[in-house]
Amino acid sequence: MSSMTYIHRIAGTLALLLAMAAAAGQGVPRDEYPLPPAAPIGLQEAAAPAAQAVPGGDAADAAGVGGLGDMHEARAALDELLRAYEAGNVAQFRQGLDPSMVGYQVFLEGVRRDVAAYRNLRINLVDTQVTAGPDLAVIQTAWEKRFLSAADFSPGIYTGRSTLLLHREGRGWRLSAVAQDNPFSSASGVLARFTLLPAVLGMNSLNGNVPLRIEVVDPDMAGAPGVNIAVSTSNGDRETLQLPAVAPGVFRITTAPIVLSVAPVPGNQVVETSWPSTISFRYLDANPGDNRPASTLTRSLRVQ
Amino acid sequence: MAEGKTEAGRWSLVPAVLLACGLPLAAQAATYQRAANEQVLQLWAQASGMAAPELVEGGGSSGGTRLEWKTGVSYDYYQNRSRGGFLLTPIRDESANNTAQLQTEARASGRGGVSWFTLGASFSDDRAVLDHPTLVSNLQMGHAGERYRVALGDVPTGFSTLGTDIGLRGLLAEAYLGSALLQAVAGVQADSWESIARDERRSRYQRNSYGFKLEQPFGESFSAYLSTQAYADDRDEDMRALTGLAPADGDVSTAGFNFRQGSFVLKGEAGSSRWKEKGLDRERDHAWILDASWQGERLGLQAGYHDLGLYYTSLSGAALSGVSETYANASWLAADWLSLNADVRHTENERAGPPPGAVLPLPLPYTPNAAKADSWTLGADIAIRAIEGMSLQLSHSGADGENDGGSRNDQQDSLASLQFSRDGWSSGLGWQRSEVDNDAAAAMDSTIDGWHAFVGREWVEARSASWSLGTTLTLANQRQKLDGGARNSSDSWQFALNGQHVRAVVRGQGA
Repeated sequence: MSSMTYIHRIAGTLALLLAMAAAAGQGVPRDEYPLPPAAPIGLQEAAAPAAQAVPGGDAADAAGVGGLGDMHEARAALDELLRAYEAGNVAQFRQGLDPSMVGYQVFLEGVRRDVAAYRNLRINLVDTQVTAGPDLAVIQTAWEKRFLSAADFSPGIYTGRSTLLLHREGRGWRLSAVAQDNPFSSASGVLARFTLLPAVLGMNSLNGNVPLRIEVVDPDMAGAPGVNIAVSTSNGDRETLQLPAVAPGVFRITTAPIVLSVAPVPGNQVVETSWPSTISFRYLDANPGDNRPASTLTRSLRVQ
Repeated sequence: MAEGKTEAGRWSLVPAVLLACGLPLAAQAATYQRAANEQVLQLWAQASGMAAPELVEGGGSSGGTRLEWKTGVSYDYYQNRSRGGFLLTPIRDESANNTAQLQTEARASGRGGVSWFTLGASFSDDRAVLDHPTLVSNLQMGHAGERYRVALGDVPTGFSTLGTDIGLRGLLAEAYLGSALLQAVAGVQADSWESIARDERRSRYQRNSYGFKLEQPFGESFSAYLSTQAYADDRDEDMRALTGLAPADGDVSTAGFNFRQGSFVLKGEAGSSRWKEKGLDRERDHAWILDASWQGERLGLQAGYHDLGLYYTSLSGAALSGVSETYANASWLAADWLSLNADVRHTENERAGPPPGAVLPLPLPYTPNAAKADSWTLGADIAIRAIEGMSLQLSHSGADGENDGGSRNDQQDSLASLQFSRDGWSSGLGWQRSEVDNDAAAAMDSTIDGWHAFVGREWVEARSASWSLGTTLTLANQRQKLDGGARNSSDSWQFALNGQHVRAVVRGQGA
């Protein structure tokens, strides 16, 4: 991003903030809502009485079971988001997000792309754990996302594990962040699964068309026509294998061009290795989730 | 045209029993100090993490310390019918399953403060619900005094957006030092309590973490804080073999402020972090955010700027690195029957392009995600006054994006929905259209038209709402036209019947 663009955006933001400050200064007397000592701002609104865990009970009953009600409400808010996502109702889904969420548009972009890429989308939560406070709920869960590819109706499944953060606002719980793997959005980070079978090859099988299953399952790359795998051998060869998409986010080859050679030529599309040796396969996951930048997944193949 | 269909039938029996017991303890203890307790509760709530407990005032000869114990138990027995196989549904055909949940909470309150213990556990023989027969779903114990709080177990920790905002399993301690609030947390990020105890239950590295935050108010409207936190993954070779990832460690320090004047709130934070993956160089990066909001009687405004470097790391699930965005959001109650909202933003996603120094030969574009996008949303909620209980919702949003390498990545969606709710009835009819045009994933370029309708009825026992019964029928249809020429459609329907009976037993509420 150029420095001028930066300056314009910062100036625009500051202008907006100033306008809002001016409006606030005119509309509300000072010190109408003084801060409590060292309390995070917004906490007074957030620390609402506990949920109505006992329908029809009086206020004291309801407040008395606070933690239980908060957990149920937070889980219900998450379920509502899941149903909106499965139904492809982007407008409803958006209402469950906090506009100040970091990466809001990246998140929504992935949701829209998923709506186009998958049919009969269903997310099943497993091992769900809910911890809730008056304004912050943490939901840890494993998930399975099942779908039919829109292109050819081939079935597929992604799995992952997420920590979802929800903050309570006036209208209820809103999703404010997804840590680890994002079950909703193909643009926001899921750790890819990189598999290599078998892990050991015999010398006699290296005939240039070796039965070797190399598979990457990376929901972040759903829709992409293929991904690259970097291959390096212990005798100095460096090659790139291209894995074509066989389903949204699933990239696979079942044979690989590997031969025995004492004088490898890097970049000739043939993996030339010695015996015995180790061949390394690396996939660069651009969005691995879990607070990681782009990370390299590595698998090794032994030739013996 | 290809079609796919999944059907699952499920009968659910949900008897819920909720018991609440309040037992007077040490009734002859010292006089109950109402003001002091409120102060304790306020401090406790400010420190956050759990709902503020309710101190039960016995009155008369009662008072002093009280012990409250509450337990909720639910049990489901259900049978499934499904078609489609494991790839399409986790539900096993012709299976009968049992699922139970237990949640218990005990609190002791008195002049010394509040102590509590909570435990939740789930039990199921349905592998679509639990991967193993039992799961500890939450566990926490702690004590809050007048100016401190200590919690052990599952501790949701929300220090700040760029610092720590995540759930940990460990120890949280908070105390007021004068007017400053010091918070400290140490623990582990793990899949579950069971995964801490048993290696084979782990799906990723356990991340050992700690953090500190010191917040000092200046006057009644402004406070500033400093935080520092760090983490390190377990050196676990089995996990490396399972995931293919190397363990990593990171540390981050942030400084931020909160300002509130009337209904105006301004929050800002800046952070600097270091991240290292085993075997690679350490990466340093920075982030800063600024968010403002103002809520008037009929108008609400929000705006902000976020800029997080690609290698920025933290203990916050909210800090998505590599994102730079500017946004403004407004909601306006234009009339008693009309509410309008709008959102505009510009986003740049550094993750959409190859990381600096990437040595792999990379495809172009590197990912199907937009490297930059301008997006907008307009919406309206209209109450149709001529028919009580009827409302109309309209929205349109779009994004003009550009992929890494300059190709196009545009999206749009529109919604119109009519809803009617009155006298226990609810119904709705909606239409939506979604369009995606992404040169980096052209196979999915398409237009989807869909409609949905639902009708529901709920009955609630009028006097004490001790039971309720509800039913909903939902119908939906989607038709997708792929730009490549293929067409597909899907229809779905759902019929749900829910009943609930809640029984509350209250014993021993003082003399």
